[in-house]
Amino acid sequence: MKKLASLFVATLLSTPTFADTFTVGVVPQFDVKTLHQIWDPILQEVSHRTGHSFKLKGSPDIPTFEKEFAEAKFDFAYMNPYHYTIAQHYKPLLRDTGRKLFGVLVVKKGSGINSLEQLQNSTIAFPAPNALGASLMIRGELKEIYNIDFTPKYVKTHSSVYLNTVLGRTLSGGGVQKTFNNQKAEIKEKLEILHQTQKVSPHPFVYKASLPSNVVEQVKAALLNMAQNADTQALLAKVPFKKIGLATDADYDDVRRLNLERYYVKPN
Amino acid sequence: MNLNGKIVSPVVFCLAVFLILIEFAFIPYFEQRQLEAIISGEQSELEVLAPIIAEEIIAGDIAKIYSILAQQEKMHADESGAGITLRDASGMQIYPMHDRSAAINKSQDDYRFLTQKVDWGNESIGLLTYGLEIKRELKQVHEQLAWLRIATITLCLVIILVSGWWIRRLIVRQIVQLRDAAQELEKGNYDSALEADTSDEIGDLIRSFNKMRLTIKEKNTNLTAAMLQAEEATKTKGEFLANMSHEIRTPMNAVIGLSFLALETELSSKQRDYLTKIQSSAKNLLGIINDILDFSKIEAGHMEIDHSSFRLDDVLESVCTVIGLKAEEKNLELRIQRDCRIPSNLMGDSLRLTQILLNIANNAVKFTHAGEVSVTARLQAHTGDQVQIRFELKDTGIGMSQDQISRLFSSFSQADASTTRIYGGTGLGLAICKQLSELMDGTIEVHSTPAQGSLFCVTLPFSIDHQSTSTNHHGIFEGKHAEMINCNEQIAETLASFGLKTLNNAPISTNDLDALKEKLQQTSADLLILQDSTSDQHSLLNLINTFHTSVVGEKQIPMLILTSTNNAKAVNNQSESPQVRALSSLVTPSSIFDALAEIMDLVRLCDTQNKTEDLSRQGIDRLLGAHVLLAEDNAINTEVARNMLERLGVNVTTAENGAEAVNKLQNQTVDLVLMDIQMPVMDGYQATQQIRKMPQHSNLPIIALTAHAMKGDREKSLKANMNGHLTKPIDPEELYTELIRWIDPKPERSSAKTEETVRPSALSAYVLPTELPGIDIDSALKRLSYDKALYGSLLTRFFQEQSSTPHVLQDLMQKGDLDSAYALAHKIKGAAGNLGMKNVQGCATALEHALKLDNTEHVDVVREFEAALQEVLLAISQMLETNTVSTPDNINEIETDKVQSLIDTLLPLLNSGDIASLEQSDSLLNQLKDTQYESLASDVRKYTHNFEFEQAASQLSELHLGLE
Repeated sequence: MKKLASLFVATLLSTPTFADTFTVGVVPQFDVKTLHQIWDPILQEVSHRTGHSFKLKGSPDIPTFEKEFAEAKFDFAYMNPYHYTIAQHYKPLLRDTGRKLFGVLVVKKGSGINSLEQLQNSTIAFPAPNALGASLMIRGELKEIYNIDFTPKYVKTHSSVYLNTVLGRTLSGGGVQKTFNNQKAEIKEKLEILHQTQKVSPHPFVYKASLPSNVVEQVKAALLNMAQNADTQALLAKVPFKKIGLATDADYDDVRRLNLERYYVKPN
Repeated sequence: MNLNGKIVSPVVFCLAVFLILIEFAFIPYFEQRQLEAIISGEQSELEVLAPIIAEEIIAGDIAKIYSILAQQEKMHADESGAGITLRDASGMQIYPMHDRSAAINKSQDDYRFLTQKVDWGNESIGLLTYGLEIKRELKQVHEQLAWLRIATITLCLVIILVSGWWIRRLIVRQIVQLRDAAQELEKGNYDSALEADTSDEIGDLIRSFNKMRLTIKEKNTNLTAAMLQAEEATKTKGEFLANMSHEIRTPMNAVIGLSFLALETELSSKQRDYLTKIQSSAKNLLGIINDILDFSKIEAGHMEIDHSSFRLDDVLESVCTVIGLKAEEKNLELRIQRDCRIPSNLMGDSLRLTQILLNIANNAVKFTHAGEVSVTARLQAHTGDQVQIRFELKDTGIGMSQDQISRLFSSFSQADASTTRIYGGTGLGLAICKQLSELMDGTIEVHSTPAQGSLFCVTLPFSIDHQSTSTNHHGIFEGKHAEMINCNEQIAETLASFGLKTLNNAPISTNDLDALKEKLQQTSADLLILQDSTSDQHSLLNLINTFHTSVVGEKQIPMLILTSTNNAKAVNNQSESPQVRALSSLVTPSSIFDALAEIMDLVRLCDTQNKTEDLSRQGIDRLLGAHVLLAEDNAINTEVARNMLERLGVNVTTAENGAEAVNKLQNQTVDLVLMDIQMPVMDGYQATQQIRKMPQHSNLPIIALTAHAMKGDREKSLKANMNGHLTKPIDPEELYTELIRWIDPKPERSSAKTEETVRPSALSAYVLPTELPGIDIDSALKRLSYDKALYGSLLTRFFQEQSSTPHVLQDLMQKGDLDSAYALAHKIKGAAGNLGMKNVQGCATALEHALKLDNTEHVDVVREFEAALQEVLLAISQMLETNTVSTPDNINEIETDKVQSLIDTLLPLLNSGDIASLEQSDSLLNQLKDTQYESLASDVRKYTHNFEFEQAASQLSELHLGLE
């Protein structure tokens, strides 16, 4: 009875009878302004289609974001696969089904390094300890699979990783294919990819498990429908959701298998 | 630069200095300051950047560093190679990725490198360098400063324009107005008033100008009035002079004419002397009047310079002729030299040239007592058709001081006041010469030393008369050779100019007869020219005789002798050969040319002068019996003219005015009309027009007689269809020349020419008997106005012409040529009537009738005629014999005592300058008349009468010596 009552209350509380406002968190992989530019049009469209209001709730940095999603501060969130594996209150809703996520290890061209063994005891630049493809997956693989010892140097951003590598401040650096591709030609041409990690499903769009299912369904439908229209699909592609599709918990089992929690650095 | 410019230029200068200061002092200083500010600004920025960068280096966020520094560079828009560079502690370059040094190295100097250490705590972890491109920064500063420049220059221009406009408005405008007004004033517009609208100095100037304008206007009005008055006065003066010229000339005509006529009559020596003096004084007076008139004409600008062809040699010869006599009288050597390069035919005013040269030459002779007078014509310049001839008239006379020369050419002034007293003259002559020279575009100058002589140089331009020059005969001497003896260079040049080839010029003395003879025989020349100025007459005559005796028959070479005037005369008289000719040294090239042509028998050249002379010699005879109508209102003038005409045997009809003349011509025929211009009732011009309307008189010669000597009279007369023009007082020679020129010789009144025609004037010595058988002297003399000389000459000519008539008549009668006999009788009838041979006239008339009727019974008539003719011929021959006896060849006996006492009385009188000497000298001359001493006595008298007592005394002493 108590359970029913609480459910009722919860339903009462959570079930919107008219327009409700939901918060959407996004991993701060870009600066706040860029995130807004990407997400605001999508959320407006979703609001329009569902009749509910969706607001981006920015986080100043990844640790704050991690802390916030750990405390279930967002109704919906877009996070990296590792974050999902550790997030307890969220369930996957949608993901980009057109690609896989993997990390790349780059070295400076002409540095003479052509095998991972040569990186033994070197300093390797990473954007941040917990960046999935660029940091966690590479560190994990190097340690777990190739048994290489190295000193990680966290240089905040992917661009800094590549620059540190180009300038020779580190022997190599970890990044992802996408950010590498986005670098200026003068940097790209001075680097070469030494190693690619195994590929995992990319970032999921998750919902708080406690949300009313009709809202979740409304959002899912809205986003999936948006992919049907060229204009709205263009909005989604910026996320990037090149081909938006349903995400399941099983999609992230391979991430869980990497035991990345060993390498995860807890924020202070 | 105009006034505006002058005033504004200091402003422009100041502004220019201002601009230069801004450009070269202020702007560089400002730039430096600006640069320093930029540098310090950059440095502070680097200081701010450093900790941020340090943080990111520690964090390893190179991308952030790139972003920050790129942002920083972007803020400076600095993409050049010298932007921000970041190196880490080890010196490795972190930013930018590329090496900047390559870009910087090129122009290291253009950069200022700012550095900032990047510290982390106490540790230096990097170094920021900022390459500031000074040039670029300066350029930016320059760009910033561009507005300042533009603003300053604009401001300066505005200041200049405004100040210019302001000055123009305030000052220049008024000054320009003043200038325009002054220019108007200069043009004669005195009404350009100006408004003085300011109270400053310019206002004062304008007010003064206005006052001045009014003053000038007033003065100018007065001046114009005065000028008009003066012009009126000058015009009146001119008219007065013209009238005076008429008024003076009419009585002068009477004085000169009547004294001339009176001198032709029988007079006592005292009367003759008085009349001669009257005549010469009158001529002097006339000369003075002519001078004054000429002078007035020049002053009034009425003198017109003729431009017609003339021969320079004619001018020189006429000068030479006129002054030659005077020079000879004073025993002066006269030389005429002429540059043979001067073309012989020139265009110009020969009359005025002659006047100038004569005036100066006359003075030269007048003021020279011993030595020589020379007239030289030199070619000074020859350009195209123009020649510049310099006439030099040099004498060895009394000369002048510099002071005297300076006053020489001013009017009415002679070298000295005392000169007038001694030498006479109006002092106008040289002033006229100077003005005439100037009118002819020439100059006259004088150089003189007192007591040494004077040199007058007259330089005049003439144009060459090619038309007349082309008719010369210079070609005729081509190829001929001339042998010269003692000839000077001038003669040699002259001969060369004729085309004669001159052989050597041997210096052989005339006295060296043998040498000369040898020369004559040896020479191969066609001609011999001898110049001799030193030898006496005697040796020269010897030479001529030698020439004749030794050379005749062998080879006669034409010879020309150039010697003194006297010698030349003597030689020409002595020589019988047509191939010897002497010329005085007063020769012009043309006279040498003519003489050479004559003696070489190349061409018979007669110059116009000779023709005129011949004409007058022959012409006077043919005037006999001609009929002249004389229209003249003045009774004395009529009398003078009538007498002059009748002396020539001309019949005269008179008329008192033009109308009477026209009337008389309606039923009379005359050979010529002498027409006075100013006459009552009808003047000469009108009368001429009337006469010309009559068909029978359309070609009648009409000669104007006028007392007008002013300009244009001749032209006026010729325009009025008159044939000639004579100026009163009538000069007999001129009158005769005109008569001869216009009266056609008619057979019935012209007598047959004889070889020796005697001029009437030369016969004054004839002594006419009171009675001649068969001749009515009284009636004849009456007809000839008691001109005994003329009558004597006519009788002589009648004798010469008719002495053979009886034989001729006999021959004609025998041959039966009655027509010729009739003509002969007719001729004698006319002549006999005129000469008072009444018997001869009657017989001739009877014979004429008989022959006309073809009456064969005329033997008696012929005999009577012959007898009458023989009677008069005999009478005339007796008269001529009487005259021959009384010729002055026989020297009278000298009453020595009387003469001696006269000399004794006269000498002291002359020494003391007593005028009683005048009478005494007359008496002396009377005593010595027709003796060998006559000429000396005559000199004494002449000098005495000229008040030249010293000269007279010296001549008297000479005479005294001669007598002893």
